[in-house]
Amino acid sequence: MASKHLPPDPQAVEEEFLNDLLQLERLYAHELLGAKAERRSKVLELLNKTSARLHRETSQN
Amino acid sequence: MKLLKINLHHFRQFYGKHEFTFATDSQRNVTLLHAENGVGKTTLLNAVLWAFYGETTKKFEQKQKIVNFEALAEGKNVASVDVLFEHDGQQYIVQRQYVQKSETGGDVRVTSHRIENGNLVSVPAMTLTNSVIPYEMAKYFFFDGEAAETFSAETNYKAVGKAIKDMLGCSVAQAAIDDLAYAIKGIEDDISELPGQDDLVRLQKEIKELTAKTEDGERQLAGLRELKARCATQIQEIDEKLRGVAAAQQLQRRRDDKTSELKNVEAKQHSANAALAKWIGTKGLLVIARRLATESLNFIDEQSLRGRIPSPYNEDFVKELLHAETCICKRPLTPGSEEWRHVAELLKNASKAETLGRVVRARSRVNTLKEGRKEAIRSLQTTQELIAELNNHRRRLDQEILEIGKELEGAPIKEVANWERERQELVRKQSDADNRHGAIQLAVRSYQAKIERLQAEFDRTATRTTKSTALIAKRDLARRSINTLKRLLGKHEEEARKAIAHEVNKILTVTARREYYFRLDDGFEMNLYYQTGKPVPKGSGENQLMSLAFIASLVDFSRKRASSSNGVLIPGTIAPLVLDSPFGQLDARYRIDTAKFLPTLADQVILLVSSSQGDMDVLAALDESIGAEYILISENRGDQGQKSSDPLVVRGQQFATSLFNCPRNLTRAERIQ
Repeated sequence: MASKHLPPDPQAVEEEFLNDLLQLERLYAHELLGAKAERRSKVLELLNKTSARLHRETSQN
Repeated sequence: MKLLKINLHHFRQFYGKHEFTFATDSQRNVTLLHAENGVGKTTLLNAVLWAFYGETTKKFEQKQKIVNFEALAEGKNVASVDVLFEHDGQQYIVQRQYVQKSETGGDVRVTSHRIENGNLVSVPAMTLTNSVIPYEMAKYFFFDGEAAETFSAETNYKAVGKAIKDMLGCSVAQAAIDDLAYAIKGIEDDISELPGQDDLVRLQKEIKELTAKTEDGERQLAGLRELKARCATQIQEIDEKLRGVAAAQQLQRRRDDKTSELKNVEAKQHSANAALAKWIGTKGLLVIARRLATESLNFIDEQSLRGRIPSPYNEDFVKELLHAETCICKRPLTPGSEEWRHVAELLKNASKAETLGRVVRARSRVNTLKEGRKEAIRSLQTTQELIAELNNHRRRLDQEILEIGKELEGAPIKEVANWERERQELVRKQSDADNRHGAIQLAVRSYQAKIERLQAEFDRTATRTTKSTALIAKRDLARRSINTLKRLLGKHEEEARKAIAHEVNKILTVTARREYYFRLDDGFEMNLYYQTGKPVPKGSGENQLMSLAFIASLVDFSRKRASSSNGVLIPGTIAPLVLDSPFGQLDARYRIDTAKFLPTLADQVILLVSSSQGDMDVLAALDESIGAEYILISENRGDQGQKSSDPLVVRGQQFATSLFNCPRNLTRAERIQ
């Protein structure tokens, strides 16, 4: 998690994004097979969140 | 994971209840199941796949008809499969039940439990089965040997690549890539839809059109690659036939030699052309820079003559005189005096040691350029001469091969002439496909370059507003993530490819009496070669052996990756290897070696064989590894008439595997003690 005082570097945020993304895909691959639309919407949500976070942190820097 | 028991109830051919207990001993780890074709071998293999994933293999006919016909006729519409297994020291049971509601459909119910002190504790079915054997890996553990031809076929690269990716556990990362690509499309649509972005709409449209053209081109390229491979296989088959006919044998052998020589020349041409390309990159400059080098040396010499570079005075030397306040002629140099000013004036042109060094290095480099030019021209001439010689050699060989073809075409034996005509047509097709492949490849590259340019223009145009800038940043995050995942997958695939190729060669050394060399290229095409370098014809027993060795290597690879905690890939697994008809088209000599080898492929092996495959020699080779043995018996309502009772002798006991005048048509299992 990002500290309030020390924003993590963008690379770390992107690595965290990839880990979260793969975790999400694993969940859908094993337990929620077939829920493709729902899975894609969750991926987009994660992408939006991370992009906003990166944008915020770039602005702060 | 080890299979302990399977219970079938009204499942397909199996009317009523049937139980199979599997061998779990580490020495006697093989369960052998004898059955004639059509009696239920494939059904048993599919029972586990169906119970675990609700799926069956491609060759499982009439997939929707799960409930036994006899049972249905008696109003019993429920079929089920229970699989009892052990995984990580814990026992589990998975049950899938199908209740047929109409001609075409019904309800499915799946339950899965962990067995704790005799009690059943419910666990999520999909999570359990996928953690025991991930879905994409299952089809290689439950393998239909007759489908092994998929791997040995001429266009095997798709199936082989998929098998390696499946066993590597790429599916999760691949799904992430697909989802990100889908998200990118959506984001780009959002950007184009922003107000006042008409240019973007146009660019987006052009990019989409070019992308569609690229995809179409890639599809055509894949088709042409398959066509070329098919032609190559058919040519190989004709060559094999010609080698077997006395009248054509000598000519065909000469053609084999010339073809082999041609391949050698082609390889040399390839290296010579690569050397020429390298020459242009590294030495071409030396030739072009001739004038520059001459002018540079002239400049340095001219400046040296004028005493500018290097200066006749050394800066340190002048400074020392001023510091000592004494000239070299021993006269005093009083600071501020006229003599002192004269000497101090020399500092303006005095050279530093660093400058001197630079001049020396520059002169030396320019001299090297001049000298290198002579050597560069010599090496270019050598390479050009080699290329010309190879071109001539190739032309001669092409001509000789053509003449051999003409001789064969005019052979008095009609069959030989026809084969040769067929062969020439295939060569023509192959060459035509090759040319089309080259043209399409160029077109695809040009589309890709254009897409890149348009993409850059799209980005430049879009970054005019804050909103589009944010959307582009989001799209770029998705793109970077796709690239990272692709890079990681590529690296793992490359490692897997090498590990699997190594293992297949190891297995072949043990099982194949003759020495073969197995190659799995970076496009996932796998081929078997004789030590002479000639390819083993596809469709031969040796290729079946190669496919089996490939499956065994996949299983071994998965076992080695069982405890891998790689975040990108799904870990591998240790699971039983269930092989339906593993001996397929193998010659008798390979069957025995393969039978000896199969028990070592996994901790638990289940073999489903027909009497033609499981002959006395195969059974003898397997004997010490068999821990459980079953025979499937087909019961039929009708009269025997002229039909055989298909007797089978196992361990001195004779079994009639087909019975007649029975109350129902069904299959039942009998355990051999």
